[in-house]
Amino acid sequence: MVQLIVGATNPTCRVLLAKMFRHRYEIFVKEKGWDIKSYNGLEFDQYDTPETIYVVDVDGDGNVAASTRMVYTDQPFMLADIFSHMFECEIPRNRECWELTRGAMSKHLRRSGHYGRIQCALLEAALLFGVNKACGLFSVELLMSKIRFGLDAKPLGQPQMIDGEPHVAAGFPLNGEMLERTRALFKLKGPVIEHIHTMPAQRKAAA
Amino acid sequence: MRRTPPPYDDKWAIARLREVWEWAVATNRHFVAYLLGMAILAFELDTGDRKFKPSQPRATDMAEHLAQTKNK
Repeated sequence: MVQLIVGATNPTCRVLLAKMFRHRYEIFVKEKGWDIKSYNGLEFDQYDTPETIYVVDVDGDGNVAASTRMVYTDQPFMLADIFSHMFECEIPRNRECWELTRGAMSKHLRRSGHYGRIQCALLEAALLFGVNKACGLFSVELLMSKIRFGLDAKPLGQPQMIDGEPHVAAGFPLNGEMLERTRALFKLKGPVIEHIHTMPAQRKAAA
Repeated sequence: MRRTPPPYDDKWAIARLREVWEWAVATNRHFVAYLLGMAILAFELDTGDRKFKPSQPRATDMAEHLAQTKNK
């Protein structure tokens, strides 16, 4: 079941957010050994804000299987703050472009359907929020495989070595056509997002 | 016999590669752009002492890709 959460401090889904931060700790700190901040087995940073959006795939036992983080590029975001040297073009800064970071998936589930569901959830969320582009820092190997899957990714700079692996900044469109293509690729028939947790203030405004 | 050194070096080669890389990005040939980007990175990593080793997963990845393209 894929859930969309608006806000790292969303009070309506504190338990799920804590599970996601714990899952991220397991993946990025324990498994990948990244030298990043963590707090009592939870991994979060300055880009997890009340405006950050997440898609989280939860398995049948209620455990987080996969998640990804979307940050509006008109807010501070990691690529611009830390990896601006990876860009050889203008850094995107607008409400129609998300930065994708912290794509986390449990090791034993990497060849399961969770990956396809998270990809579709990301595209559904983009349509929902009127976002039509995404950018991020990817390992070249991952991006090459995404291009083979049909992602229309454009390099935004030259590949560079990070932690002994070539990485590159890339941007790609998020639109209905991509969603259809991704659904067909992963044999998904309809929407995957089953629950949307907006921030209470947004819900009040919507009501 | 006097030998004139060729007017090519790593810098020259990277500059030429970069020109083609920019063309590939501008013409939306993104896959070519990634391959050229990797070639430029390889130049930067290869110090000429034969210690440069391309990573194994990427080589397999490309082989898989070529196999898939052949089957089509």
